[in-house]
Amino acid sequence: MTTNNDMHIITIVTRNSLRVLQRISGLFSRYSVNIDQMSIFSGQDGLSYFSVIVYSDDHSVQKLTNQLNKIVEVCDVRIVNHKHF
Amino acid sequence: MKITGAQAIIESLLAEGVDLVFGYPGGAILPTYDALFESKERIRHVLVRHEQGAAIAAEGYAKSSGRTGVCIATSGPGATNLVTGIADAMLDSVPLVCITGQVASSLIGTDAFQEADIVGITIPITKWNIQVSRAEDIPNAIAKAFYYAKDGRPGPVLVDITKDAQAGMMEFTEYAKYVPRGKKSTQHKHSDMQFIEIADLLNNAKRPLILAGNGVGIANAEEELVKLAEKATIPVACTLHGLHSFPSNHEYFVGLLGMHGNYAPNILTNEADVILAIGMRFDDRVTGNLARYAKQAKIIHVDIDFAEINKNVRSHMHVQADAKYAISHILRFVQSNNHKEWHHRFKHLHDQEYEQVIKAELSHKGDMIRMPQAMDLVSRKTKGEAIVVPDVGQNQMVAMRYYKFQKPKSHISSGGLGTMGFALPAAIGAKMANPDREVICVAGDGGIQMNIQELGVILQEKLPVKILLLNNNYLGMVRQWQEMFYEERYSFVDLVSPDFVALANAYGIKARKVTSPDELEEAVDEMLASKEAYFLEVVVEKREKVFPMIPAGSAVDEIRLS
Repeated sequence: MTTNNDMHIITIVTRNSLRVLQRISGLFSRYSVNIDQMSIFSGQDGLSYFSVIVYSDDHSVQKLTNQLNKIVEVCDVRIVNHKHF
Repeated sequence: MKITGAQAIIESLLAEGVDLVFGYPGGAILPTYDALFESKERIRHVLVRHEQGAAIAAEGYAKSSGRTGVCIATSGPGATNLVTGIADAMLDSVPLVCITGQVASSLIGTDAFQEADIVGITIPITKWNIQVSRAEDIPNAIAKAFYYAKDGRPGPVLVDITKDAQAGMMEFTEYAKYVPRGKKSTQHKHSDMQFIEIADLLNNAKRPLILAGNGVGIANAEEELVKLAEKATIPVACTLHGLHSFPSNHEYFVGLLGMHGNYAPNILTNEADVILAIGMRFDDRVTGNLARYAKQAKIIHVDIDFAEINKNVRSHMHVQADAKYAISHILRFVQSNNHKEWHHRFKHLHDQEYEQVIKAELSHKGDMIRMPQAMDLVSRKTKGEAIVVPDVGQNQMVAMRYYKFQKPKSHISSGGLGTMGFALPAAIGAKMANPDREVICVAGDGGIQMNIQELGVILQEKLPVKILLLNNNYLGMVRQWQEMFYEERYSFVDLVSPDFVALANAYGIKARKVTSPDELEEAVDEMLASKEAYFLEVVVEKREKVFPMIPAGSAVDEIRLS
């Protein structure tokens, strides 16, 4: 399933609060972007650092990150690499 | 000063300027209702008959006033009953603060009586939500709720408060409005250069078109829009929610976009060379088949929500800003222009629609009344100045096609979610916010029965809401689709309804039923003259269809007149 799509790494910085993972993962499933790998690190600064690897097309990933940005607890979202990985 | 969490809820609401809430009490929200009882001189509470009515009434209040609507419900079923109204507010960008009771924090996760994970349930349909389990956290949570309901693109928020937090004591000093730290900007800084480029596109356009959406009204940019259209002589087409933001008698108004919109703006969307889309999101009901939507045009998209830019339609230029800000800046650089021929194209196509559809409907002489005849009459009798609150379906399409809106914040409708049952509670909320304006609920026989229990609110609050029931004894819009696309296999669209006049009378509401075209005008006069609530049932032709129509999957220029 993932072979036709490019790999994207999405990094997300959020405030470390209850349900923030649910808010984020809910958007991935709503936009039909399957999470291949995810790691979360909670810093001493009260922030959580997400690194998510997905295989999807550029447009879907862009639409998804635009929505992720609207989550109140989310401070920053970046698509680290576009394809050619 | 030591007060309870419940009292802190009330003090917070008062500090946010709230003087009216819609709600329904229950076990987990009892402490808050006890505090409301104490404060009933300061906050008016309207007791709905079903929590869905509370959420939708709060929407009607918010949409017709521009203020944030507030609704209160208990835990479990009280909270889940709000869900449809919350989802409706999310899709239509309505600022709503929903306060729900929750079981005591010691019981959470035990499947306690009336426990539902309402925060989890409403994550996808709120801008923000939170559960509060300590009294001292209540004021800050409510402050954030009011902030996020209105920030950027408005929408619903939910604050779920456990019973022990409501009952607990806290030190209440001064209420602080929420000010975000390191706020993500919803409005980017724009340079003049960007607006000059946009104005250049418009100035050099041969066939420019403005598409005005919900964002125009939300930003109170109606006057700016008129100025822009007039200065640059650009025709203005409106979405369902944009309809009341541009006067329908203005010479540059070219009608309604979308599936049951007007012929000219739909066809000419695919001929325009520059499209300026303001505060609208290219919903599928507006665009039809995206692959054949405005491919020839350069599109300038103005929206406060960045996620809407390039979501459905690729724009050539965009401005992430509220409509008032963007229009006033574009206005500075546009020049007056001569687009006579282009305007004439709209006029020509409108005349075709008028002859084949509008005139045909309005001048039809038969034994039965047609929906457009009733709406046209109401429009003329109220001079287009009433607040009209349609339900969903044929009645909604007819109401917006035939009511000639002249004033902002006057068309209160469920556009995005298409919530049947919306009209009656929303009209109640709109009347509460606008006691001096005529508020007319327009519904079909299907939708009115979805929240018919709210007639009890009209009775209890003595609200002079006018209800126009267009009764065709069918779920008309579904029937229309079954006729056109399902080989006339009418699957479960035939309604056996109660005696509506007797039903309204049972709620102490004056009511009348008309079946003959000869009685219609006098009955509408009687309804409008009434100083109290009035329920007018108009029996209309059973098999009417709403045209024009863009069949699902077709392009906007494939709109059909029959």
